[in-house]
Amino acid sequence: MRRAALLLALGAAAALAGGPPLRSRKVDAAVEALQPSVVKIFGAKGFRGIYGYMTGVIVHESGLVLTRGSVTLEEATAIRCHLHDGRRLTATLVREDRRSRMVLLRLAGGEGATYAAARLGSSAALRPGHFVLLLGNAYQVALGAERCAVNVGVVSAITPLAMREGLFDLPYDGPVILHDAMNNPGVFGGPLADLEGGVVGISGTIVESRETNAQVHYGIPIDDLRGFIDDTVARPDAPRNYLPPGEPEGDGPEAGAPGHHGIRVLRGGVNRSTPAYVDRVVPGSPAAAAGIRPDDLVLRVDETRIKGWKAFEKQMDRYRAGDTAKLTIQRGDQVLLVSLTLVPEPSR
Amino acid sequence: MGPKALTTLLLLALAASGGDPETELVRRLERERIDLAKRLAPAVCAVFRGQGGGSGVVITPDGLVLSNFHVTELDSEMRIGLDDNRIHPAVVLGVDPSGDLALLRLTEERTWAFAGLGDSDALRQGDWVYAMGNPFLLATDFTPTITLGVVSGTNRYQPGSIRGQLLYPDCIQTDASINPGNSGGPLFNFGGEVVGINGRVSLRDRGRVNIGVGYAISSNQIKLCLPELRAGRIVEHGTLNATVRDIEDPEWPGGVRVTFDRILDPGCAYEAGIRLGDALVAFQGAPVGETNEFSRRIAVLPKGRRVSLRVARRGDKGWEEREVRVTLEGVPLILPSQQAQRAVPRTYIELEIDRTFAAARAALAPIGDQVRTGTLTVEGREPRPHEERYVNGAPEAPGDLPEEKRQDFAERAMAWNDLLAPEGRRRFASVEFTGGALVGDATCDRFEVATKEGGKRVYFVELSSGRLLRCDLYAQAWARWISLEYGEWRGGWPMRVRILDREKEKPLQTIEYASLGAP
Amino acid sequence: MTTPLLLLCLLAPPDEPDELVALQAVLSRALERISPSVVTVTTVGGIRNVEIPERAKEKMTVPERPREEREEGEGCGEGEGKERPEEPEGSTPRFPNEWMKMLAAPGFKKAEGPTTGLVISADGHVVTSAWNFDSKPQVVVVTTAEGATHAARLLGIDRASGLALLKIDATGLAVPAFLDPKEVSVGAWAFAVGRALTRSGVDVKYGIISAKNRVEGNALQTDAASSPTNYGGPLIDVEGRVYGVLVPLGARGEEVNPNWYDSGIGFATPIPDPARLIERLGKEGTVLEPAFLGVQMDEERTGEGARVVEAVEGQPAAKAGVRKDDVVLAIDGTKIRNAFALRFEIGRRRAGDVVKLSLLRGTEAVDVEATLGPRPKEVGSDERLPVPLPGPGEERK
Repeated sequence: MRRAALLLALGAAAALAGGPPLRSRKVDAAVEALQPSVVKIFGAKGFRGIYGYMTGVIVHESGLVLTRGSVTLEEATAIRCHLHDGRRLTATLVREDRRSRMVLLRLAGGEGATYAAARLGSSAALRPGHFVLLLGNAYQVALGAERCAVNVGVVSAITPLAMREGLFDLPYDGPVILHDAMNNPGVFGGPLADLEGGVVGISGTIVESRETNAQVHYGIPIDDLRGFIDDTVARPDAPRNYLPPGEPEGDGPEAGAPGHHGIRVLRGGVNRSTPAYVDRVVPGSPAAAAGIRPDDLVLRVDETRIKGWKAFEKQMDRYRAGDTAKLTIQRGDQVLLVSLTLVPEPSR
Repeated sequence: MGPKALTTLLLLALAASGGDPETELVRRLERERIDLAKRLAPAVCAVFRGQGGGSGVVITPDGLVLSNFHVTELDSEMRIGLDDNRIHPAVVLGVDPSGDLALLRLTEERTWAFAGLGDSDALRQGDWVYAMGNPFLLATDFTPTITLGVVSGTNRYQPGSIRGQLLYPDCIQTDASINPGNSGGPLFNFGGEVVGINGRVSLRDRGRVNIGVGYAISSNQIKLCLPELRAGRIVEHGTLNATVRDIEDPEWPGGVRVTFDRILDPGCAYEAGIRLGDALVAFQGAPVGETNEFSRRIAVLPKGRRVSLRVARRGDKGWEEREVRVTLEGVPLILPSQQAQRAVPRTYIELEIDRTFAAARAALAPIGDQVRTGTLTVEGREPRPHEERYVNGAPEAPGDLPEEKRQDFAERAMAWNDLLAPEGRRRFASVEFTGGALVGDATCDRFEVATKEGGKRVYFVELSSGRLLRCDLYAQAWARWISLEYGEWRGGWPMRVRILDREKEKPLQTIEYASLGAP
Repeated sequence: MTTPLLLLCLLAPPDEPDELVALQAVLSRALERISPSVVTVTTVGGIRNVEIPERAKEKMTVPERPREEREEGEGCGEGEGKERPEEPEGSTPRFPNEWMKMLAAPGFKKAEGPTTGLVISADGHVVTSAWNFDSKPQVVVVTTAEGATHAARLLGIDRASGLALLKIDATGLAVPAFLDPKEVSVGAWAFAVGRALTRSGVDVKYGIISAKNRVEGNALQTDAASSPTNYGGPLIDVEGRVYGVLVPLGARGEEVNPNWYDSGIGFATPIPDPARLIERLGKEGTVLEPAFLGVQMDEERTGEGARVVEAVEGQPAAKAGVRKDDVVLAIDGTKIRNAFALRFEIGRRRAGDVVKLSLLRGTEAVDVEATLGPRPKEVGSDERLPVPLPGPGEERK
């Protein structure tokens, strides 16, 4: 029975065969669907080391274009946009989302003009291994009616990029879409789409990990930008800086009293690469209460890998009174996780 | 049975056999791609030039190979590694320095695995492609490296750097990984056709490695200059000797007026009456929307092509249009080390012909598809006074002949072929010489070699009408090949060719040229 | 089970599924299958700067950024035949020193940070790349898929293939399926899996198998992006079986610099026999070096076997009694097709290995035993250097 079934399968397969392998037309179709909404954006020139051109996507038919913010857009007297059919329009910067560094522009096409808005997909449905298309005007190769380039990759991971470690210059602390489609200057702000042609993310800049020197391509998930878009559509006269509901004003996590933990590490003098061995523990401190001992080696503070004594001190300086830090410690041949809640610095 | 019914049947069968349909589908199509890669690999070349190298692809069964000009530069001999783990000798036929192409020929007489040129205009963004070649010369055994990607963009215009050099007027942008060493190698569509020759990348500050933006010269651009390349010419791209620029003008249809902003005098555009400020409305009958579009369409054309432009000039009554016809001039080629070449002793090809025509004719009786070798002899003679001016002069190409002589020459060339193949079948491999200079200004056509006594070497082609055509066989310091006229003509005769160094009078290389059966 | 499926299919015949959509589903399952065996490897301490080879200390010139200036004015456009501003001299690396310049940058600090590893035995043998071990770290930590952190001991390093073997104290770890490199086909899907980009799962990059028998026969080549985050991790097929472990080797088996990351050229060392690997590398302090036989072969030969042009004096082949014009027909029983086959067979062995060579001397069959020595340092003067690709606006002659 099994063999007959296999033979049948082979026969049917042979009948179906013919035509080029890798027949998927998904990428072609998705690109076709998206191109009308993809905009080539040109900002002010003359900024050293910063590219004055990028890509954006029309997210509302009234001519709202979502892209990544840049000083070249802020400083431009007139932001120029080339639409997919070659139409050249100016645009003004109307709204910014500081967290994600994304901005919304409005096309100056005239009263009542409408534009092809992209279909927004769902970034929540993305998984590692899903294909993504990255559209953008890499190296300004495309002008006028020439089409933005498409690069294909897969989602590598969906994860926060550890902003607080300072490993990446990213003000955004939510999960981002990491992928292996090549991002390049000119593509920043362009759409990341799934195989169905729905926009699932907006491309950020290329960031380099200070730990590994590996470059990482990321996109901000579209679900996290819907609030920004919807609020701007609903309230055309809203203030320029978008604040998500519930976000407190203020300086952020750095505000607050300096925290005290009680760990004194062995200082290696000039040699920063001496690992962070605990030299002594201040009696009565949170570290003492948590059971940290001399000769413990601090491997990690929360997500940050600690490379040396100086790195440890610098990292702990970020924590304020009341913050909790999870330390990964090596003691002998054991590795332990210890939670520390910092208290205010004791008065001298 | 329709596809739906077949699919159902397949799924039923798979369900019954215990396989999971998605994995089966993925595996099946993966197997097809693996087989495609295996079929294409024998045609992919590793091209070595001295210490360096790049890639290439065999495009005809008799051994024509495409690569980049910046891989071969102006050298004449290359070594080609194929996936049989062997090195094969090759010579460079024609080059296109502007368009960054080189055409080579594998000199061994045999049938080669090859891949045909496809239609690059049929590509769409998102189509999957294979890039094959030898990045970083990783292939110690000459098996090609294969990378997968999509067509990122089509009909891209990538400007050259120095005037006219390595211009990519109509290229395919791809994210298949292309690295140093991939230059000259093929970009394949999944039908197994060459749709581009990889040659260029955009770079970041990461050194010269792939960043997902690679460019391949489109196969359709290559097809335009293939005849000239086969003829052993240095292809020159055409230019108007004028440039245009986009000017945003809300009153102009489309919002952008393509305007002439620089016109060289003397220059063919100037001579045709075009002036600064004129607007370019259409080119070769098709409207021009913006500068890049125009640049792309003109830069693929060769020098000497006659083109039509529709230009508009602003007058009192508004914009007035008129038709203009211009013969494109050549983009000046600044070939590398051209200065250095003058100091290098020139290399000649001496055609050693040592059999009489009668004997040749007898020897070349119908042979079917067998390969034979043989040589022809002719008498030597001194060059005649009026012929001397060509000996040390610059090469002239058949295209330099006046129109009526060109036609004449073509007819005579065909007649020569008939002489050697009385049945009218084209039997022979193309005759290939270096230089690119065939001048139809001679008085007889018996093939001759001038004797050494004269201190000069003169080469002639004899045609059946009795006319002799003079060939000037050296052009630059390298030994290269020219073929007799118009690429497609396969007239030729068996011969042994020796490349000599003029100062040393000693052969550098000897190549046996055999006659082949019907193509 | 089959009957309802049959009925379902009869009632609602589907359109042919899209290959990429199917691949997404298949890949998800493959990731689930491999994930339990993929671990994070972090090192602490050690030397930070790595010795830069003398020749690479020449001034490295960096290719200029792609030009972004276009015509000033209302429009952006390029005129045909327009003059371009002259490139500053020395802004582009010149061939042939370019190759050397690519190998290192002045003041190059070797990148650190978490990399990936792969479990190869249930009791805690973990394979990773030798990436972080040049700097002789003081501590090595392995974090498993469940999140458990273990201190690890470095057992052995294989310089020829770029692998390092670690041991953690654990039981019942998941071991993946390994593929034999002979069964691997060029053009097959290949996915590079790491566990260093995110704490909560594995990360994946897509590509294909680009070539076999690279790095002297030791590695498969892939165009899936590889960088320190996934060095040490598995390169898998669509069903989650392991082609090999990603290693930071360059074109000639040398260490890479950050310029190579994600370049589309990556190498994976196959592990067809994990038990044998543990045997060879399991003793703490083991360092395996690439093997060297010491023969010059006739690469033009057309017959079966590989003909010796010269058995270099003082080297293993000469010492074993191999002579000029001997034809090597087999090595340890494996038939040798040509000089490259022999080169790769030797490439897969290590210094100190004893090999049996079956030779044809004239018409006589001769067997010799050779003890392979270490590969001498190559000067690299006869290295073939790739002709550099021009980038936009870079060319200068």
